[in-house]
Amino acid sequence: MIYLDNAATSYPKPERVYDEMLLCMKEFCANPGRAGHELAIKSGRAVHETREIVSRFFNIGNPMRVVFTKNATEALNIAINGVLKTGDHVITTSMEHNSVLRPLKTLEKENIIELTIVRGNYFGEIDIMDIERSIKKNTKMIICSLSSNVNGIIMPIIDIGKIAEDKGILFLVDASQGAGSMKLDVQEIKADMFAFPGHKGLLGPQGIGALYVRKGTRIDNLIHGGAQERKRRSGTENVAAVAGMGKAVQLAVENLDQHVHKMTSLRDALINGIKERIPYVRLNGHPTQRLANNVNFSFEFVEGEALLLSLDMVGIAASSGSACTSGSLDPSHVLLAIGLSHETAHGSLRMSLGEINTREDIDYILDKLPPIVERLRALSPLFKQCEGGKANV
Amino acid sequence: MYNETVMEHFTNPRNVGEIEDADGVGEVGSPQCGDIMKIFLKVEDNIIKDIKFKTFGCASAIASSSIMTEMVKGRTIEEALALTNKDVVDALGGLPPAKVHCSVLAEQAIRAAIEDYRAKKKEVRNSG
Repeated sequence: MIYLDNAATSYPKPERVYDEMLLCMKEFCANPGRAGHELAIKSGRAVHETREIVSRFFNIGNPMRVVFTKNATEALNIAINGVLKTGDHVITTSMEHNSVLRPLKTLEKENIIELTIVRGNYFGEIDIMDIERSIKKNTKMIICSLSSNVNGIIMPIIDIGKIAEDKGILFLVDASQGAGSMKLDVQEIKADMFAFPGHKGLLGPQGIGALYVRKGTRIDNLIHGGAQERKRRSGTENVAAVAGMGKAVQLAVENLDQHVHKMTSLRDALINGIKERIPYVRLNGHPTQRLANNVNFSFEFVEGEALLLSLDMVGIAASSGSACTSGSLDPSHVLLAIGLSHETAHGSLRMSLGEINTREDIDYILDKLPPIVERLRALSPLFKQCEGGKANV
Repeated sequence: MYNETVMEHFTNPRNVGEIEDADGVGEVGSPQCGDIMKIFLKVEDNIIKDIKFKTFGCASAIASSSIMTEMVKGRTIEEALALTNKDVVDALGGLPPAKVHCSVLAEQAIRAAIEDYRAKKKEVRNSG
């Protein structure tokens, strides 16, 4: 199996991450900070160590500003719902994940906030001037992802951070795609809040994420209970997952440059190979301003689920923006927002690479993919091969 | 996700293609929902002598089209019109709940092709 769904969850994890988690669960996994006994103290220490490790990794000065959450979705929901109040205006982009857009749209529907969504262009790029122009007197927060989960476009967060700081507006960064795949510094980004998951680019386990909250940011506690995480997120921490994420980030620090270099080279080989071998394809996203491991193509005249299933049958695991794979009737909102037609959005295929992939994997994909696309096009009423090899669209 | 019958029809779909001088053509679905089914019919003495399909859609849409063409080939127009989406689902040995609309599309597609056939026949009769 060639696993190309690392943007959903990275797999496999480094052996040392598995080892760390198992060791934690078997040897000392008591309730951290709940009692004075040896195991509880050991558990608490493991949680704090990870807090320090991730703080160093993202240049978060004080580790106590890190709130462990279940995942990035929970972190983003806490950041959004814990800060925004009636009458606030929020600016975000069309490139965001649903874990940003849906909580915002819910608040908008309930007439709590005003919302401006700045649209990405053909590549998914947003115009920083659009953000600036959207600022109003009551603008409380700007929310932007580091990179789109769909097409991998790298967002101009440094520029946005400067604008937000100048205007005294809070800046929330969704680092779900990109954390672990590039150097990130919350001070440089000027993020007031910064959410990330353990299980994607950081190569940690599922079930753990975090929210960094800059000192002085007023945020309500939404989950009440035993006052864990300085009351920001009550409930016993997922200690084994926290420990696993700590180990994963330690390894990420050691391997970052090498990892990015390898991913970029495999990514470009795959992109160029597909363009050379298959006609009527569209590379979704920017040719260079993209996440090192993201490849996303639309294959005209074919539907994504049929493509995914055919790839699965030859041992290739990818993902699609097709409605059929998302549990809703609409294809990817991100692809529609940047101007793809419905049928092109339905025919999108995301291949997100991981450390385990090799040049041989890329060759295998480039060998298997063209005949699959050709077969599905032969079945498609949208595709008519004319004499001379030109498509009649 | 899919059973063996569905996968078999997806992998080896029957009656794929177009009929140039078709007696009836039906196209249903829309790019918005990600499924388009196009059916071509050849009819002789009220019997579907030949049928071909082309489908843009997911595996279950392709499998539904394929098995539907097998079910109506050689049948009378009336028999083909009596085909329901449930017949298609049953013949496939079941579809996941979210995919039942694909079988509805197959039912609609054959109906649309027969309607077109009847309309064309009427035209010929009227002009003749």
